[in-house]
Amino acid sequence: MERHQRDLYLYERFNARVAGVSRDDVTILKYWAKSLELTFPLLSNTTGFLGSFFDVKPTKELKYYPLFSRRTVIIDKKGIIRYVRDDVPDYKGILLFLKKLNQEEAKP
Amino acid sequence: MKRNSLIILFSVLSIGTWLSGCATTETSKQVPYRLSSQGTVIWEDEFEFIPPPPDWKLLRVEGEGDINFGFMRTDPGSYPSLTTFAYDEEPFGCSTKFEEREKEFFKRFLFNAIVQFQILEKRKVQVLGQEGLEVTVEGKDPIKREKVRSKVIFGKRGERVVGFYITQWRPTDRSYDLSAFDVFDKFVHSFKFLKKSFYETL
Amino acid sequence: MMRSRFFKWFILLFLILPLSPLSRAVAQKVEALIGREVLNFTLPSTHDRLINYAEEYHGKHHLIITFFPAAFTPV
Repeated sequence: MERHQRDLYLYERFNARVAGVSRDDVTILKYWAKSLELTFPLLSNTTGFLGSFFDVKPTKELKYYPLFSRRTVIIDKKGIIRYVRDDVPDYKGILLFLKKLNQEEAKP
Repeated sequence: MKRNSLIILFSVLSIGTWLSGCATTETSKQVPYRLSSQGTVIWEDEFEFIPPPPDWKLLRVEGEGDINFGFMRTDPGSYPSLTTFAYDEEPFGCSTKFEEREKEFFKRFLFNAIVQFQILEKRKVQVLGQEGLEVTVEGKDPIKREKVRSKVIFGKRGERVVGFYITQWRPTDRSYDLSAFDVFDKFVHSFKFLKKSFYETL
Repeated sequence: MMRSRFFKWFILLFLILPLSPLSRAVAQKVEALIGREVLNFTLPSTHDRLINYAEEYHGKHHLIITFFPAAFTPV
């Protein structure tokens, strides 16, 4: 998440925002966000519905409360899913993709 | 018999087609640097610097994450007697301002060593052709009877903060060898970027 | 007898072979997501308020969402 925070000024330049989502309770997320000094929001999805919508694979560690595995998606401002990538985020790839989205928008 | 042979042949071809999707060829590992005619090191056609003397060994970290590369020297004396210095394209932290980045950075610096750092000196310096920040710290572990002296220099590459650091470990009762810090200073002051970074080309 | 044994192995092989492109199945699911419209969601946030996608982001900003297993773990 620190890498997202570090790239935040670039995301804003490309008119993008970022949010992290997990199945943790919001209180735990607040402690974590404070420890990392994150300025972007972390969202608490305890029921997991958003992960289901994005087909996020459940992890195997906790059988009765499966956690999200790592997945990054980019939704353009029209609400269309444009990018999906599993595992650790490809931060440079995200920036290149946002640049591409911006260039698409700039075209008449 | 003929039918069985055809079935076997078909199966082998199917497996072969399937496996061919997974096949990769091993690429030979290339050395990431070369020496220039002036005796400097050109690293991946991106950085140029004066190398340390031959008693320093190269440190490389594969993939993204920690430091880009560095040098290490085992010093005479009992454990721990080691000096390491490195260049880090993305030192820990988020801010693009030196003062804030310094605070963020020292929350995590040598985290596993669990030493409390005391700032010995903090000053503005010229690095990479512009203003930077140099911080010298010392940390002690009275239980393990170890101490560490470090110098961290923050500079800029485009808008982003980059870092150079040197750490020298000693047993508590032994003195530091400050000549290693001169080698580090020479490395830092000779350091040049040969091309724009990924972020500068966005 | 040899023939029936051979055919048993042959059938087993053709049962195993389709399992190999499990990664292909994942790739197909990813492709199915791209181009799809996101659902409007509202979730509690670390900003002490509920965040609704349509109000905060739709029509205004692109949104990067990183799903992660748990707080205090590396992402």
